[in-house]
Amino acid sequence: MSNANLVDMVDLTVSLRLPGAPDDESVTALAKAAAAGGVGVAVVGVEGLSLVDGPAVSAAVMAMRAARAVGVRLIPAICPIRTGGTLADLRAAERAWRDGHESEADVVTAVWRLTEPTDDALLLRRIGDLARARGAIVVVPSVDRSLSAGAVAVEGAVATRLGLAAMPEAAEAIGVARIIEVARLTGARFVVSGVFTAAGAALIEQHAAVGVSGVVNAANLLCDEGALLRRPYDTRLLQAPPLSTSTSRLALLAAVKRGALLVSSGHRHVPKRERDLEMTRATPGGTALASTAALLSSVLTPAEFLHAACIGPAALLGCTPTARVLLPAVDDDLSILVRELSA
Amino acid sequence: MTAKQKLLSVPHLLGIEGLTRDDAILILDTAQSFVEVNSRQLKKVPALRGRLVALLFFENSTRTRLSFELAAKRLSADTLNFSASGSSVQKGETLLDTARNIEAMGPDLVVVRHEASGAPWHLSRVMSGAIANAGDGQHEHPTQALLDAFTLLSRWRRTAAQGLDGKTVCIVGDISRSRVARSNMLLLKLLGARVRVAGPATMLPAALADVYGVDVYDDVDDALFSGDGVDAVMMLRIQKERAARAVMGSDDDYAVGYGLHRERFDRLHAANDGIVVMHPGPINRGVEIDAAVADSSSSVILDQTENGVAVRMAVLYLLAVGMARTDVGSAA
Amino acid sequence: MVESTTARVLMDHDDVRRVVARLAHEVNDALQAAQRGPLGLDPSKLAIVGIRTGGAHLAFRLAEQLGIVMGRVPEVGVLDITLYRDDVLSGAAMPILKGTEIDFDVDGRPIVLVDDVLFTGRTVRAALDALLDMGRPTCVLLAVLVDRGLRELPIAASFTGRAVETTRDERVDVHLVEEGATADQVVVRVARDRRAR
Repeated sequence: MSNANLVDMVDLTVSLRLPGAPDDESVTALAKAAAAGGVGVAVVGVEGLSLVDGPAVSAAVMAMRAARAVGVRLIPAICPIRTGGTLADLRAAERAWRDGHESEADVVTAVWRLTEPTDDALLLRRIGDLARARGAIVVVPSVDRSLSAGAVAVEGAVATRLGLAAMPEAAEAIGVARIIEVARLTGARFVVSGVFTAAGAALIEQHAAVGVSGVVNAANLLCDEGALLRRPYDTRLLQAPPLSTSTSRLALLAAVKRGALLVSSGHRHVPKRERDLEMTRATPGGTALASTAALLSSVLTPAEFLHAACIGPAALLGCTPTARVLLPAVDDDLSILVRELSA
Repeated sequence: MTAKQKLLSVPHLLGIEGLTRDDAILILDTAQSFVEVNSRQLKKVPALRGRLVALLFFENSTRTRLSFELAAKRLSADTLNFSASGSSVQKGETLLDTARNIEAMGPDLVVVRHEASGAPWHLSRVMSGAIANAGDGQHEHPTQALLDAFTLLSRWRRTAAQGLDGKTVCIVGDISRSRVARSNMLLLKLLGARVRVAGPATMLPAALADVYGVDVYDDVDDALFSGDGVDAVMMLRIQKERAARAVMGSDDDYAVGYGLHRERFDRLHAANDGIVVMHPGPINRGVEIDAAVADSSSSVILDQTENGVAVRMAVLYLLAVGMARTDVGSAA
Repeated sequence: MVESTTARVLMDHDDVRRVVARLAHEVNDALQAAQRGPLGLDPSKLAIVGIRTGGAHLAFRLAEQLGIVMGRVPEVGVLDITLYRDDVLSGAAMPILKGTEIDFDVDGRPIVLVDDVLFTGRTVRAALDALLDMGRPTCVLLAVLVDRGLRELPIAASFTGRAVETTRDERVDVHLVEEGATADQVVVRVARDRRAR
């Protein structure tokens, strides 16, 4: 593939992981990888890094500076609401963060991110209330946790044949419906991450006026569950959310082309060691930052990609994307796999 | 030498899926020869003398492990026992770490039981021996299905080549989480039987009919008595620990609604006095099957256990000779 | 099927019939003699065991002939020695099991083991192991249709139909009507790449 001139990719759901070498990750390394992959702004869920305490905030600020040095703007997403977390945690984190970085003009909009889905509507409502008051965007996984617990695949013929623990597509419809109603109730802006079903995408598109947007992982536009059958149990195909049915994949792709859904680079790379684990024991993977644009060139036109991965998310965050030359894809696992599957 | 040699078309037994009907017939016919060996006073043949069979049981299963171990010993193979309890698995060692350590001991055959679907497939990529799946997650339990088919064929005095054409078998229980059901649906269909499955709606995955071509019932009496009825009924073990996950009511509810209790069995027996009752064991007496029914003359539950050894001998033997053929082929 | 240029017929249909009849007389004579000998064999307990597949057919023929000679047809069993072969896991032997069918107790009986061709002696070794795993016969005698020499083990036939000198690159094929041949025939021919029988 030849180099393409595109503006920065703006990625709303990047994890703090370095493609290709997840054991060697640091914010600096991530920033370099993001820059190489054409990402200009990355919202980073700083997992394992509580922003409540002072040192962590300083570390995050340092990381942002380091990222800017290589031409990437990092927006650390506050994600204090984990399972069992309370609103008090969020308030504390928010306070600590504001105190620590008020000199940083880079943060256009505050982003809060829930790393796990919640089926606690009350908690979601309180987060929404607070986010609206602060002008923050809340990124929430799409699925209902009680229906998706333990699942590594979508319920249906493929999961039944392979004997994989699975969730129904309705897990997303329920989760998305809840988020839409909370958005309506609170007036906060929500971004539903990891949309993977046609029904979830349709709900988001219908209710865009409420202030809800959706992000689909690149992997879900490229592969569907049929890939599991051609290469059974390949943990490189383990995704969060899972690969969807081919019907859903096509619907997602159509929604992206209409501009109704945004695209992110996905979650993280699957390291070599984890590829040998059983499906249920491996942690979910996804596309790497560096190759998303190249991978998606097979299903999206440059203009469609530009909107879904750059202009759309930038508008949401209130920043202006800058021009950049994208490098050809770095060979990472999923890009190789997709090539094999389509061959 | 004689015409083209007929061996298994697969190097490992990872599941019934992937086997041809000829493969199934070969395994079942070979098992028939081992039934004769097992009827002797000296139940041992030297076929696998000097070969090492590793038994990797990451999930507890005394019965299946003993059956495989006995099969290996009757073929004169050495056995290497590895079970998850008390081993380094509990210290966080992964399947692959364990496999590589066992690999260093050079097993020719590896029997694996694991709670994750697909674990044997993973092992087949990193180990040089032939893999026999002794049950993986909710996926497959191929030797159980083979011994069930073998038991049915013996009961009905048919050869494997004659198959199960014209027979209807009903599987009752938690179909969605049962590897025994999966393997059995595949094999029974492969051998020409008609298959009905029955269980509470919470235990029936939606895609069942499409994927396996079976008839699905959420009323067990419909499954057993509608149309021409059934020739055999296979009761699956109800995993009590799973009841907590809201897929079933109480044991009593299950026993009344879906169990093979006395009255239901009597009705079944009246409709077809040749009815065959099966259960992969261990039995929850009084839950999925009544104690007296399990011990009745219609029950082949003990035959299943006995045939298990012969079927596993056949599987180990055929995988071993298959591997020998491959070695010769690649050396030539 | 048989390449006439390199094949020579060792025995034809009538030869095979005559030889089996002769073997029956020899077996009977030996048993009668042994009855008075130190082993004290009981000829009425005689059983014939054929080695699959050629030996099995010959065992039934021998038993039939013995019925004429002795006035009583002895019991016949068939032995599948595949599981006892030393070359089954080296890929040389045909690994498909046809099954052993010996429906009588071998304990305390004189047994005549029957095979079509005696060659290296390894088949007979395997058959002896298989037979002895099934019990304790008073004695085992060996009857073969053809002894082609070239032994690799110290094994000799008790009753030999025809002895013939062969080389390792030759093979001896026994065609029997039970196997679908139009007539019984024993053929010696040059084998190119296969290890001869």
